Amino acid sequence: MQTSVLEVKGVKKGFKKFHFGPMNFELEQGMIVGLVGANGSGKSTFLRLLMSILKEDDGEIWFFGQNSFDDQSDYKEKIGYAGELLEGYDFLTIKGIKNLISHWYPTWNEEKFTELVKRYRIDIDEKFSKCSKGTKKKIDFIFALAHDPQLLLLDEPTAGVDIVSQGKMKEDLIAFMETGERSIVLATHTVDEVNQLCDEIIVMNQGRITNTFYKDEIHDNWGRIWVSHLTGKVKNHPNVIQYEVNPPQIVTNDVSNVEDVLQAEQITINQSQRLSMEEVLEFLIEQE
Amino acid sequence: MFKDAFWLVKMEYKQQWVAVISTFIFSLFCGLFIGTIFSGQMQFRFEVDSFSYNLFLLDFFLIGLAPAFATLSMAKPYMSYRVAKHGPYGKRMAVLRSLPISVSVLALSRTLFMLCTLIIMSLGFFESMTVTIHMFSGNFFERLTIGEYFIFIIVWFGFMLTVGGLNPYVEYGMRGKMLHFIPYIYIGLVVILEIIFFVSFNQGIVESIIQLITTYGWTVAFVSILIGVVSCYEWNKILKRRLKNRDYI
Repeated sequence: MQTSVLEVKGVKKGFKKFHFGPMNFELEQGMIVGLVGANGSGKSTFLRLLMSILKEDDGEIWFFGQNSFDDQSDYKEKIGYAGELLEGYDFLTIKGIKNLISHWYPTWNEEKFTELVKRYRIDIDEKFSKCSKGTKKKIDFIFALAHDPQLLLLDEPTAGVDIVSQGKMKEDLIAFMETGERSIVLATHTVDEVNQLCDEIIVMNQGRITNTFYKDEIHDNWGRIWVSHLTGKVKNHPNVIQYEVNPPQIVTNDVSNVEDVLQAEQITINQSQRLSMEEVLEFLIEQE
Repeated sequence: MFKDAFWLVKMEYKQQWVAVISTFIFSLFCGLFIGTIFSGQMQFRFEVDSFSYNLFLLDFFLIGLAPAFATLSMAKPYMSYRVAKHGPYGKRMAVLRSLPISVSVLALSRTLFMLCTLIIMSLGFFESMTVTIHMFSGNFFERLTIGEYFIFIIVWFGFMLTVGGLNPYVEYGMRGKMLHFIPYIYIGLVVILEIIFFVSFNQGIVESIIQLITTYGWTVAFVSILIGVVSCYEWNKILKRRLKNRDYI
């Protein structure tokens, strides 16, 4: 039986030049959801709203069946959030920040923290303000994982991180999901992360969800088809995302359906090719 | 809840020990400074009994500096507008809000921190002020008994508690820039209040309070502390509401 770990109902947030939502979203246990979208599309805002760093104007957020507006904060014990917040305590050493954070998690795993710090080569006696951007990201990531959470909310965890550590992070996330009882919401710009980690992909634009799909659907449904010629019906078909006249070709998000249309229009298919995740995401983000 | 809030207070003192020491030294200097004016004005008041520049100055500094003892006023955000405008206190609270800590604990920790800081800094301030008065004003304790002076200190502590409760709200409930604007607004209000008081009663506020103390004694201290405690409670409620509803970034 699927259990909902996170439910977002009609959440809205207004800023001077940007409006987020209304957002409806549900995350099932055992799932990794990737949030993708252009810069400023609302991915970080969404995660900050979830963590009460921003206050929603309207709507409800439920974690593990508990309303986030309640003063009780038990549900946060089960969440690991990496969202570049630690700047507020940048005058402390990593060890100092650890002392501040670990106290609040009954499930804090000191052994795991030590292991992760060693794995990512972090000097815990270094002041946070002196760390490089990539190191700060790694520290964020370690703090999110070290208390064995049930849900991870990660805001571009690998941005600015060296290639070796990026690989380690992916490994750690895969290991995190091994039990099948944990979940991740991952805001990312990295196609590899989407490809290797995510089950479901949410495309955001201007504070709204514009597309939601499972990763497998992309491979099955999206394709580029080179054809003999194009007709008006094909050009205007809702599943034709893009077309080019020379040479005549189309990009579609429903290959089988469009192939039927092409057949009906007596258009010859010269060649067809499935689109990569990167190409699909480019289309989805660009088309908005 | 108290245990968790105290843990946060303890942690903050550990993190901010430099600011604690420098604010304590600042409090000693303030006590020395105000003690000097106090000694002078008492002498002046009893000799001339008319409007005094010293009286105005005493009111200005004693009332104006009152909120400064309820926070680490020598901390970087208070000393530098550049630091303050980045909202350092808000950023710290953002970290704490992301942790499994209830808003009640967070608000209580700020109020307790304010209270503990006020006790520490006012101890330094009043001690330094008392020593200065004792050294520079030979006849001060002939005019005011030690008991009445002690009541005066309690009355002033009550006032500091009343206005000091504003600090956690300004630090954690407002934008960083306000850390530098609010003191100017407060000082402006103090000056206006002083002028109105002088025009209406032809005497200083501190002078009037001393008169009240000599007439009503401990009742004034009780009322002042009561107002301070109630204000503190109300400030805490307002802060809690604000922490629950504000954007931290």
